[in-house]
Amino acid sequence: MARTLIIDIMGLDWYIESTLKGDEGMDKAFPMVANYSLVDGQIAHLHSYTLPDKLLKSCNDYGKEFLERCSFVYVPRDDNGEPVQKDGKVIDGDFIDALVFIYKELEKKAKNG
Amino acid sequence: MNSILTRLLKAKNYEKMSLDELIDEYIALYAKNAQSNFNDLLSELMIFLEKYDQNISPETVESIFASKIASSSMSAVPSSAVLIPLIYEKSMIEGVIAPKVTAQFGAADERAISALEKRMMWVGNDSSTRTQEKLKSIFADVYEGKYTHDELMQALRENFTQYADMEVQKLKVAADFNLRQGRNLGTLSRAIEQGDTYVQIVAKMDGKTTNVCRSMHLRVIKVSTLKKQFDAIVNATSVDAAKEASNLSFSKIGVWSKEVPPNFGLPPFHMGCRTIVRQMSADQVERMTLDEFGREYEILDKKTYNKIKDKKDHLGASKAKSVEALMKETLGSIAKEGVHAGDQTKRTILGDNGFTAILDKNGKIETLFKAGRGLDYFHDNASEVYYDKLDIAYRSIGQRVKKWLGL
Repeated sequence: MARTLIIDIMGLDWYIESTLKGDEGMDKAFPMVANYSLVDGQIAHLHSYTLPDKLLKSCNDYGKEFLERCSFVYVPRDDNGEPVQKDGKVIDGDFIDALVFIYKELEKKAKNG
Repeated sequence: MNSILTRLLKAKNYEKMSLDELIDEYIALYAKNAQSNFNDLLSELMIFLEKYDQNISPETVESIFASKIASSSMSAVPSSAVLIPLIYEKSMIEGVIAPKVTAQFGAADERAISALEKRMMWVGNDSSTRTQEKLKSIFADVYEGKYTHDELMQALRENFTQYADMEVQKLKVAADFNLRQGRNLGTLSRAIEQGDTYVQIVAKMDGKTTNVCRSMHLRVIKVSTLKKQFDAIVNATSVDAAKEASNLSFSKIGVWSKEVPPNFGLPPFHMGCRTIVRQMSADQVERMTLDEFGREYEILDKKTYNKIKDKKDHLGASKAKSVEALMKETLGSIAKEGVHAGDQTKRTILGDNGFTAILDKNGKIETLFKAGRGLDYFHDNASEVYYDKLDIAYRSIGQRVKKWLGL
């Protein structure tokens, strides 16, 4: 059964969070991302500030961990930073799909000022 | 151009709008986008108004804008008492030379004119009495709001025919330097007269901002520290003395110490410099938080505060007990600083504690976290590193070793 992870965007920081505990360290560098942790070969946590084109374009170079298919739950936040449950959505796909989704959300934010 | 003004221009045929309608539209659009930085909007408005119609009476702009602000129910909009000095300041930073919008502008510029009477001025190597008189007369007209920028260039060309072939940009840079120095002297003179203890340095942050301006941006300096340089510039009796007093020696390296070097601190810091001095009240300074080099910083907003407090990789990755303590720890001891790779108006700062802070152009912290990739993350996200504590330390050691060895 596919894992369920949370996508959160606060300001220009974005996070992909899971309930997996533990940290395998940063032995597999994921360029440009601030934080990246694996547990038993599965992505447990991703965080960074902004998502540059360069990062998306280079996704192909990363390991098979990014091809794991999951359900990503995203609940947008209002101007006060509170989650707006009714606007929540689920993205079924791999981590690259999730990153593309985050990229588009950040792009929308930039357009709306 | 700012998105609000872009939308305004796209949505309406502004040339057919009255000034009254234009300002109405502007305020309405601002209200819809209250998150935008008001300072930015003001500077955009000043430039826009200059392009819109150079014959608009400045007093008209002021009175319409101020009355609309006063009758507005928008709490986020500052009062005209706050607004007018902001317009003046922004017009200086943006290089809009003739926005004599209010009597308060005049008050500041009167000091500039007064300082002008004593100052040494030059064009190229020419500092003859005749040249100085011509320059002073032209600049006095600018301070009085008689010229727009284009008209100033024309006046300079007409008065300095020997420079007719001089590259326009070069002439503009020389004129800008003198005008900006005059205005900054005027502001400092006003601060001295009013008994202010501190002033703040404010740079225009973009891809053209130099290292020295980045190092000085938002720095709070004691008026008494600048007084010596002020006196030296105003009382210089030769062009060489005036140039020396202007002190452009830090333009490439910046100033990376808490105390500014003696005889330094009053902008412009280099030719083409857009940095200005801002008057500060003692109350304002008391409420400020300052980084290792005396530059103001604060958290962007409540949302950002909560993000740093609650999310993994932020406060949770630190031993600090509060967001305030973490900010102080990170910005109180800076290891490296650079231009943010994705936005040249922002600064990427790596603290000695290993935390990365991203600050916007107004010194507001947008994020603060510990990157697992530490130094690599910093270098990925700084397009140009202009401060490196280790590098400076190595250079200093190298110089001392050379000195000991008599090399």
